[in-house]
Amino acid sequence: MISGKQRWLFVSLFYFMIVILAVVSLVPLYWTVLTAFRPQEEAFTYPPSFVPSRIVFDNIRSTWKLAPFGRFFFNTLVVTAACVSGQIVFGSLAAYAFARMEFPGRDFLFLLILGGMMIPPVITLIPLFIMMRQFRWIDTYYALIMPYLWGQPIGLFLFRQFFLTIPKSLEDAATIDGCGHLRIFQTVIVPNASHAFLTVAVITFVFTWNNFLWPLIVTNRETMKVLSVAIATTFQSEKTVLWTNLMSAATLSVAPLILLFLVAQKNFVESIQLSGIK
Amino acid sequence: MKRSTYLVFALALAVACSGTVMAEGTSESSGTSSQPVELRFMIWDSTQRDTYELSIPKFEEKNPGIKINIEVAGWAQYWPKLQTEMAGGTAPDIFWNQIRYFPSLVENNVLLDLTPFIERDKIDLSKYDKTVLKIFQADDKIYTIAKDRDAIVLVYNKDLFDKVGLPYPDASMDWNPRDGGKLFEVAKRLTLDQSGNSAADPGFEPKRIVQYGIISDNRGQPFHWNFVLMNGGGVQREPLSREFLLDKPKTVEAMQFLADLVNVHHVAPPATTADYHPGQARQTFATGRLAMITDGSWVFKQFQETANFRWGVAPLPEGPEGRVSITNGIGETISADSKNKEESWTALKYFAGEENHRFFAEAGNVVTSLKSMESVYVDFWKSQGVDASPVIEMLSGKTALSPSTKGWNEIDASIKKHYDLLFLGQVDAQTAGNNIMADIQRILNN
Amino acid sequence: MVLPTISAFGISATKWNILGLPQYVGLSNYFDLIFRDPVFWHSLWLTVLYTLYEIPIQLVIALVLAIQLNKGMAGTGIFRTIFVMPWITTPIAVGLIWKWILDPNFGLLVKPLSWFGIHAPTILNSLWFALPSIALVNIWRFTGYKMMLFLAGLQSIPHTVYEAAEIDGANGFKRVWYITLPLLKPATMFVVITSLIGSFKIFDTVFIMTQGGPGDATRVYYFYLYQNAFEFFKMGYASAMAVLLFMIIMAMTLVQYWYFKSQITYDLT
Repeated sequence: MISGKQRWLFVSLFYFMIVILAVVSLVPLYWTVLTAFRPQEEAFTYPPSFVPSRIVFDNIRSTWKLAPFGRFFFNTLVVTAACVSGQIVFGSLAAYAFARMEFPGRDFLFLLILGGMMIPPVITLIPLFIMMRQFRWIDTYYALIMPYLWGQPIGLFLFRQFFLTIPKSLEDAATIDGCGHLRIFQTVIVPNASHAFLTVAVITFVFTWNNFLWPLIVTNRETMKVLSVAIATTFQSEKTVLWTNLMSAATLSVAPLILLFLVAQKNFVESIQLSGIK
Repeated sequence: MKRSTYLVFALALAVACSGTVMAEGTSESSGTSSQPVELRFMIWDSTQRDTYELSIPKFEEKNPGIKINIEVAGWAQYWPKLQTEMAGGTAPDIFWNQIRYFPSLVENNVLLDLTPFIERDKIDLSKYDKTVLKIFQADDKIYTIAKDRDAIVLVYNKDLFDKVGLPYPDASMDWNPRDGGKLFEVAKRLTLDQSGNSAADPGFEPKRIVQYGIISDNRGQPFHWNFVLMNGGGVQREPLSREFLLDKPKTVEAMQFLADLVNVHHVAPPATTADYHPGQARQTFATGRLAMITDGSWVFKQFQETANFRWGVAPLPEGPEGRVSITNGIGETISADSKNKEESWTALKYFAGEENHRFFAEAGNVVTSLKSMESVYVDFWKSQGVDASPVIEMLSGKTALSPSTKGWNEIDASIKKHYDLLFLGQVDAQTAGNNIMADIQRILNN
Repeated sequence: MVLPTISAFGISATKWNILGLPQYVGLSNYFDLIFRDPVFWHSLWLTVLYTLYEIPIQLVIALVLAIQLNKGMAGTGIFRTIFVMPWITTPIAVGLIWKWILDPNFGLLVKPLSWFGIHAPTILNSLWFALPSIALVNIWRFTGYKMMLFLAGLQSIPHTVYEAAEIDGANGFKRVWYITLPLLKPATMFVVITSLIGSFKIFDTVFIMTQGGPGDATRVYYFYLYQNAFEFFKMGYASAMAVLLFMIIMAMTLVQYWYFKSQITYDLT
């Protein structure tokens, strides 16, 4: 048995390591936000200073004026809400089918869908674009949402893994009670995999929020751009990068996500307590 | 998860759908007798869009049947996006073009030949800079009139020069690959180590450098191609030709000199980043620890904003074959598939006209290709405290086009690759040149 | 989504420069790739190397962090948010900031390295560091994300199991080895498979930070593919690369899938 003192040593060592890692995680981000809020001439001084001489909001202001950021936020929210909902609803149902229902070719089909993750998006770009054009969806929300609405392989995969860990006995009990698949899904799977749902929602949210190659290809008008596209296009031209504006925009773009996480954290804790009680 | 959570998701889906319906727009429009023709105009620089937004309303006033919608794509994604749209048949009516991609686009017949339009409307091409017009010509056909041009100049940190008591660079500065000329002397005096010794002093410690005299790196147009030309070497035998000179003695000599500045003499910082996602070199200059940088006239705005020291502009140092600056320009070209060719041409005519050029000259971002606007550009920068006349001097001297040809991108990737190794000191210039030529052979044979 | 994939296979059998019409060339793209293109093999090798740099370190740290944070120590919620922040930041900002941090002359690391007597450019500017630097940035970026996934997996292990183990006298380390890890297998399977797929498709960071250089030091597979597709106008060639990548990843995934399948029992009762 480890003595009390040794245990204390271990714990504080771990704590120390975690704090170091946290600092490492934060430094580049701190630098991003710092560049956004400090005067432009200080962006590249050497030696680099961690504390700004003063805080300015000019960068944020000029960034907001450079492009319709309110609109970008709206677009991004709409697209993200739709994709997350789609992923949650359709992805979970499909995953349930793969996890619990038996049908011929099930595993093969699953592997095929996994295969979808393995094709580099660059290659499917043009054929998909042509498809969007046929449907006249270019420059509309449809083109931004439809390819992702039915869920992506990664979400499906994650759901399936989690559903598989739910004890079969619970489902057997429900079947005995006369439940069909849909009822089982509602009453057994969903409550017991709540952290899986939360995780997938969060992952899809972040992915869609930061997704940028496809939205860029498929939208033209300024009013249809999403945040990630706006950041990429507004501040970089062939030979210049508007550093401070870019950092401001990045800060603006990351803020909602951080908020999302702080909120989601609380739910994580709740769901631990829920799943502990059997 | 409770019932209510599902409700939330359903609600979100509904909001998304209604948002879609509300804000939906169509992407194709053609003119009817009551509606104006809408032209799609794609560019890659959002700060220049602001200038267009000053001139386009004037254009639309004079031409009520035409409306221009500007779309900005970032530089890094501009060409994939353009190509995807062309493949999908929805290319913009007008879009910015540039020498790197121009030959390949011409080869594939996606650009509208403007020669008949120019002849019909009797546009006087002599008012424009000759060199830069050539960018957009192929096989005696003209595809557009270049809208702007640039020159490479020497930008220097006035404060650093003052600190060591050296006079600012001017037209008397020279260089040569044998002893480096005045450029090298000055660079040495301005490279300082921790104890304050310069590279010209005996006690100089290369491992403790805190300030560099000049930057020498793999940037191509803003840097080494100019020096190669000034030495009598070159990239291609003539513009757009497929015969390359990268292993020839004069080219090799110049490149070796530049690489040695980094690895042998330590007057230039080790820098492996080529300038594609621009700015490592410029950021280094903005730190105030770099005395001189050669760069293009497009960079003044950025320096103005990020430098907290005084800086000035000088012509490039004179080489064995004189002074040469690479020049490059952007042009607005029309898609060969455009459904609104006549209207697009009308727009182009305006863009090439004096009124539009004046707006750009006043904004100071670029030197327009209309020679008459040169003084406007210089005046703008004078009002900002910067003497930009060296830019005009370089432009009136010998200029050369940025290298390009059909399939240039692949060749350039090879050049960059091998020159990276050269600047790192891993290979010498002759080996690099030979390797590049071998790659080029392979690429051209494919 | 299926149609574009099929057409991608089709395009790989052509020579197509996007702007014109595709020309059928059969399997010559594949032939050129495998037998005549040294860069292809180099990029494949780089990608494997990159995976070896990134994945083991990342997964170990993520797992350790997840186990620690799952114990409910003080400040867990905040730490979890902090670790995840690198992953949620816009890739462009991440790339540019790291490029500046790693600048060999005036970046953030120059001073600290000099405290250890290291002349920064010797490392930061060297050819051998280029690929590890990309791995470094991505380890920084995604460890928190993997940690989050492991956490979700850990939370599906009911407390009762741990309680039973404690009663049986298992101490901390034994608990982890004999109980946590085996029960975590479904989540581990997910993380390992998706991590490998992801690292084989690494692109963003390379695009923003090094563009494949210096020399060919970071010309990873997907980046070379992208160059062929959109810079060199060789879409058919790039599609062939994509098909080959698909086959390689598929093979790897199948192996892992069968390995994990034989290892996992899903029922706890």
